[in-house]
Amino acid sequence: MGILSAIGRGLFGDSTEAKATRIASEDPFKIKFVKEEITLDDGVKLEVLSVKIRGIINSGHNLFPADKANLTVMLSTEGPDGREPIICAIESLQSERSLGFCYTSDSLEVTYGLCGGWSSGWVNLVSVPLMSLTFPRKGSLEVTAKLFVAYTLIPSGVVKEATIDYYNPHSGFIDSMEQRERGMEVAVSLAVLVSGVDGSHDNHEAKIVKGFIQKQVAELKDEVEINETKKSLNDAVIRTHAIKDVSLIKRSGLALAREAKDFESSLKFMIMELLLDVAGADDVAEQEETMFLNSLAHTMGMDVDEYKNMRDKALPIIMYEQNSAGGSEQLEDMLGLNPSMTAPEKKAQLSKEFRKWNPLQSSSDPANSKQAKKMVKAIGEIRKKL
Amino acid sequence: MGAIAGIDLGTTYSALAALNEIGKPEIVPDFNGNRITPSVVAFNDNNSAIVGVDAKNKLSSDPSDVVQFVKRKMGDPSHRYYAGGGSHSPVEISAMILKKLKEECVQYGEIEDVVITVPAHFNEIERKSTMDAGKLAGLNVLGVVNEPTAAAIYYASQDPVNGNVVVYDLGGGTFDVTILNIQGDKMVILSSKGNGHLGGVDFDNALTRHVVTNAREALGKELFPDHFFEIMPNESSDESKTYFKIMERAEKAKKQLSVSNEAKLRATTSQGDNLSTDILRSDFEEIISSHLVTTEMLLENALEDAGLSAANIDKVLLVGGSTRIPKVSQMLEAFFGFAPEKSLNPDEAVALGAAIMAGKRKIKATGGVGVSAAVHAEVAKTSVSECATMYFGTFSHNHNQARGEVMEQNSIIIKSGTKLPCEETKVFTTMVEGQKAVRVKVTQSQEAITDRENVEVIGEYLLELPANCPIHSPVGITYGYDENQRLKVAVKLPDGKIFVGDLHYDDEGNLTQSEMQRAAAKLDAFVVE
Repeated sequence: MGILSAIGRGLFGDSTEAKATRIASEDPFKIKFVKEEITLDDGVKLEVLSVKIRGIINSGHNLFPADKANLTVMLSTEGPDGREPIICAIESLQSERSLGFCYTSDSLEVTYGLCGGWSSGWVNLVSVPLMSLTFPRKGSLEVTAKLFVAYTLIPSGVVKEATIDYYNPHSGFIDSMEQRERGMEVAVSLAVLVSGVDGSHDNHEAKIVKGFIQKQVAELKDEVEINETKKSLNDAVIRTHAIKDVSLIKRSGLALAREAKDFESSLKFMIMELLLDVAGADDVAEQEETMFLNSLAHTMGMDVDEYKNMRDKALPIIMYEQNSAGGSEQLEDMLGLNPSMTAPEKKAQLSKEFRKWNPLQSSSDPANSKQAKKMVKAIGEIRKKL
Repeated sequence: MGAIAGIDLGTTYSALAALNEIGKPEIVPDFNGNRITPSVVAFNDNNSAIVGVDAKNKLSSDPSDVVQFVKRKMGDPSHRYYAGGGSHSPVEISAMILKKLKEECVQYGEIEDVVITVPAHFNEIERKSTMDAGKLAGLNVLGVVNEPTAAAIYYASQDPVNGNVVVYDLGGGTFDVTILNIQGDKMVILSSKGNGHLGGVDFDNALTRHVVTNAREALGKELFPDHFFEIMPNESSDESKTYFKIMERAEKAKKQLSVSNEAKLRATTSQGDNLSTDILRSDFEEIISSHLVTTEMLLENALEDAGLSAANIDKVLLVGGSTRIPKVSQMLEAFFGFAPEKSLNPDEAVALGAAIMAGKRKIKATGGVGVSAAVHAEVAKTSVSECATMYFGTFSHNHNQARGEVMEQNSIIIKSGTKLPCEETKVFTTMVEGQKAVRVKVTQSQEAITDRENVEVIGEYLLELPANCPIHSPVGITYGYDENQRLKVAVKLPDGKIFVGDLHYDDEGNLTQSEMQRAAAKLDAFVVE
């Protein structure tokens, strides 16, 4: 990437000086901002956003001739509250002083009145891979490239900008922040609902929820943000705590889970981690709690295997054994079986569980080994019946 | 030249077979004519120990100085046996058993070169420990061989077979199932699965629990704490003596039930209570049913990994004393649609096959020097191609699609089932600009597991990177796995430097050079009778 400089090259057949005078009176140079596909040396195709320029770059000022200039490009989009930056994963293109993409060229020789650095055709100033950019929001965006020419002797530079429409298919970083704020509210609300689904809330469970809120607040620096977050989360707890009827608890939970379905995966798993901690707080896996958790995970669209792995760690078999009211149905659920499965499907699921637990019987962690032995025994007992 | 032998170092019983003058393997009985020796060591006060039947008999009188089932602790870094006024590692105990077997082999002269068998599912640490035990006992260990492979080699030498074969090895303490294909003189191992805590001793334990639970009502008291069933006692209390006495009777009853439908269990406890119960074969089968279901599930997994079904199997071999239980044959017949092969002696086939493998290894190691022509001709009849029975990997940061985040996970480098010897490389990259070092953790697992909490770390290297190492610089990790199923690791750093090494173990149970010398001196000072 670079600028072609061709000092003294004739264009239209005029004398150099006349040409320079004529061109200098025009708009000094133009920029173009495009989305395109480029092919790398190894044949790999890459989608990029490119800023291209054409024309003469000179000082545009007739009092102090400038001899050097830097061209700087910054990318941004328009949000509800004004300009929002676009972040680049390539460190050298990320501004140190302010969040956002920032490319600065090498110093260029420019001279007032004569042909300085110029090009007659479009020349690529910078191309940045789309995959290295994180946009603030998902969806249709108006992306602007702003070009500054910074002269060494003159403080202000010429500014040019160009805009393209771009559809961002991924969640943006502002989306993520807003989603995370909402996600915390959903998390504490669901945690209180899980706590109450067995008909009562206990102190261990309340402690878990309180600890979660404290942890979220501790990560914030801004005083206003801390107070706002505390208030919104505590309000969520109070609101949800007021729901006493178990069928209403379940309906409310499923509604929140449906909202959480659109959250990022990492946020869903963070929420589920909290819910499992609450369910396991009293060291007993109540059937109402586990069934409710299953339905929440399913509604949230969580990966089945990953959810099961989390549940196996948070609610080991010993907690199911502590539940005197729980029966074989709960044990089968723990092994990923459900009544709608055929015998061959159940056998296949048990085989999958067996592959997981059998090797752990010789784990050097005594708790893991104990859990694994019990699981293998349980698998054997259920398998015998099939 | 010294004799070439194979040793089946079992959890409950061990056996030694040597190649005779015409190259055929033969079991070498002990001085009393016993063809198998209990893997039990009883310590005396005077820096001596006894191994075998006499040691086992001491369990019900003085269990605190008796050590058994040491195979289950091979490679357990923290384990120590406190007996005979001293502390002993599993490797040292195993070495005493091997030393005893070696000394009893008078009719064959000095046993020098041996192959020792191990369960197919034994991991890297357990294999090294077994080899260390052999060296401590003064043996030239040519290598370790999987027990099912040894049994299959022996079987093929007796009765040529072509096709897919299952070796179902249910011994005193471990279970292995191996699927192999035999075509003419070529034997290829396809897959293997196992469980290190499933065998005859667990059946004895379950039967003891059944008897004691029933006796509780009749006697109106506890004979010993329930935790004895989870962790065997090693003190000389009346309770522990009672436990071992009943276990011994349970073992006898179990063996009786293999030949008749009913057995009597009679015992007088150390506290003077009389236990008397009749056990039906059907009751015993119910007691061990969940264990047998486990073996069936492992069999299914092994078939799946081999890409086969029950219908593709041509022969089933039974190995290990616990396969004498009639229910085992019935289960396998129902599974495959034909009865398993019973021509092998299940207690001896592994040692006999190990002797053949020892002959092969000796020829390979010396080019045939020191090996008679008869042995040469005999052992060359079959070739074996083993496969990796474990997955080996390392921890790396990967993007977990399901969780939507970058997480440290286990990345597999060598897959189970890969033909041996093998070498596999995976290239990783550094994570940050100027990264100073990379920590390579070597992992193993029986299944293809990505969860880092569910794999075992068997070694670790901390390697310095070149200065100012750019982000995403390549780090190539190569694992080499040989026919003894021992692992070698090589790491290629971004500047081209290569670090090579055997796994160095920080664990106490795995001996460094100097520790080996100290342990050998200690063993020399011990009289093993």
